[in-house]
Amino acid sequence: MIDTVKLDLLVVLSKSDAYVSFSDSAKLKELSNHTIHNAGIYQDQNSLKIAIIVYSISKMLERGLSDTLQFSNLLKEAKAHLENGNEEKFHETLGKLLDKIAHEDSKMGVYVEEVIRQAKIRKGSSLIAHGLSTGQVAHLLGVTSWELMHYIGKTNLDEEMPSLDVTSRIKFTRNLFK
Amino acid sequence: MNKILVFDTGPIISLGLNNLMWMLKPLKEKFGGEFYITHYVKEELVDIPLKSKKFKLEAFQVEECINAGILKEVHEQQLLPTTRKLMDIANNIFVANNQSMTVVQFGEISTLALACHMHAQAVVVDERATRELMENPEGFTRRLSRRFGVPVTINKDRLMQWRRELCDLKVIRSVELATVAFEMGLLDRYLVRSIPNLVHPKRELLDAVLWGMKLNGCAVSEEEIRRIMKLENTD
Repeated sequence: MIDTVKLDLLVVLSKSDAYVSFSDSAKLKELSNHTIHNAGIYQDQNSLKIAIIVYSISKMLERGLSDTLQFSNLLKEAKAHLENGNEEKFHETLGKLLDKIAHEDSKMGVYVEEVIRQAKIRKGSSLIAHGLSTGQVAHLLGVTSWELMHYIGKTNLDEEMPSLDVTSRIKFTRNLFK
Repeated sequence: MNKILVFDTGPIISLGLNNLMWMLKPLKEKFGGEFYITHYVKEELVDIPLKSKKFKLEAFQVEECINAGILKEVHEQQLLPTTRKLMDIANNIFVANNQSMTVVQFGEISTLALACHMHAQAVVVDERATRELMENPEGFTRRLSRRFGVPVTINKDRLMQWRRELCDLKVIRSVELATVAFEMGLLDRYLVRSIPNLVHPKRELLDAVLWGMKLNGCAVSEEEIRRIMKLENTD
């Protein structure tokens, strides 16, 4: 793992543990956005997973999750493994966190893994806003282009885009169909 | 020379999510050429959603178009070297923190490779990363830099190579296709029953189609929609 990413992830894990303990969903969401930067630049799967985990926990807190102790412990565990350079155990713990989210999610009456799926699409949309292509994001997150397109259309992602002149694009298209 | 349009995943999704897949047949007839997709794009459009519950019905509808020969699937075996070469160039143009940024994926690049290979009139691409990479890489760099909060530089050799390989390939989107379909009267079928309180039904219909495309993933700004509406002058 790249040193910059590792250091960043240690800070994120530390902060997310604190925010989970305080049930601060807003701060958790901010934190998940931060992780997206590394996910985008380095295409780092760990950063992506952590962004998804942190975002999912924030959503569950909004839905009334009260028992945060196990999440807190698993976040501490992940941080310890990463600090000690035990990447295998670190991945294992991230897996446990995702399983735990899916389990709690189903207890809350939502389809299993729905929170994770939604988190992937939200984070995917953020990566697209950062400049990655839809196909690349679908590939990184294991979601379909259908899901991403359906979601990003409802955001104001394309308002800032300086585009080529739409008039000439229409004229060009008209000529194709003459 | 055969007329050819090569479609990326996005425009087919935009049409599918708006129940406008049927438009492809009359558009193709008017075009008088072929509409192609690569095998990889077909996988994204059909094979993957068929394995899940979400967008499964839409996948069936795309498959119907392929079966009917409206969209022709091309297996990219022969295109693999070109696709790999283009992938390598595209994903080494932008550099952040001494790291090349992977911005595009095989599906999108295979579409461009096929279009170049077949000397297509244009590629139909709705998503903006690929389009900006083709049309405005400098602007794209600024966006990457602003969004990621780090300086992003351009590898100029790679960019020159990229431009050379693409040979001035033109891009259109599903909104342009829909606008032309509107001009051809293809959408008039929706005007058969007068809807009360609509002063300019044709104008409203165009507005509805353009917004439908935007809300289902086509990268088009509100300002562009306004300009198209003005251009069409349907009052």
